[in-house]
Amino acid sequence: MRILVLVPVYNEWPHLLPVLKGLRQYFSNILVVDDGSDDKSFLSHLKDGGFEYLSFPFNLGHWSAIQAGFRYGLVKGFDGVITCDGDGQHLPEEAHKIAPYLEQGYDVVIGRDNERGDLTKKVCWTVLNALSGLKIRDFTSGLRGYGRSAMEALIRDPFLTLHYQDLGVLFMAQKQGLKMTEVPVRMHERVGEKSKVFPTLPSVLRYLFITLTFILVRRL
Amino acid sequence: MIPYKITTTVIAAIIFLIIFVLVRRGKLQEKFALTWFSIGIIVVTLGLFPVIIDKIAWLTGISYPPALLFVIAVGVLLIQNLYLFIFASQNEVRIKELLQQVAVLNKLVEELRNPDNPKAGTD
Repeated sequence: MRILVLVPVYNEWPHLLPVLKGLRQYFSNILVVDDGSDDKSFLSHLKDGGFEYLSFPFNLGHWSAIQAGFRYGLVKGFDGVITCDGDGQHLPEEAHKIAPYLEQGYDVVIGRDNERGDLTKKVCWTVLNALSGLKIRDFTSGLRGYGRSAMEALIRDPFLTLHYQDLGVLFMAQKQGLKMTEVPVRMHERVGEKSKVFPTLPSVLRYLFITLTFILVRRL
Repeated sequence: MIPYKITTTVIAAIIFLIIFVLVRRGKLQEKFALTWFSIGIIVVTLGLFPVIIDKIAWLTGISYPPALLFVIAVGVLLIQNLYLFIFASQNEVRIKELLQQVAVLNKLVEELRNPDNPKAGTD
């Protein structure tokens, strides 16, 4: 099974190269997706290091970067994709644990960290879980695997309005009948950078509102 | 003091002229011009014959005619605004899809240009 590792990146250069070097020990195909970062100079570092990349001229959002990776993977005939954050939060050896589940025929595999998240997040998750009817526990995890059929389904229309790789994606994936599973993994504490999904309180509220609207209009 | 009909006509004519110039300069696409010209014509007609509003108000049982005007104006603007929001959402999705494809195509072009680069082919 040929697997492509996607590393979406938006202004997180300092930690990127070590992460990529770690991933290279486990995977032979790695694709960085630059989501319109302000400073493009690191792209030449990637080239020097022999890493492949896609680049957006401006910021389209984390999920959009992953979709571009799906498109590339489909064109190149990969059987599956594993997404991994470029900030060092996801360990290469843990990303490697996702692959066997894709081989078993799961369409979407989520790497779950049981220890992750403070109380506010856990409350958010519980509420969203109840409302969405999803049995997935860690739905903001960026460490995921997608099979080829999932990649094909997830680049189409209802998925293009999404911004993050999170609950909305899983909710729609379940609606389309994709086979999902969760795999327990260990994760690193985030180094320095803030969470992509939850940087500040207003953005958390905004996120909650958007996600709730997305789910509720489709469930009613 | 000039008759109020002149004031309304002049205002209406200016609005119509602005729409006309915008369409001519290509700032407003022709397909949107249809809506805007209709609005312009209505504005000019009402400007020339403000008594129409009074007549419709009397027919619909509205005792204060300008209120009718405001109701119509707000209604039209609301619908147009909604349409623009839909239009903007649609465009965002299209731009996203296009840029994703452009990024992938750029990469594929790069790979075709450097066929001897061992990393270019993904296997």
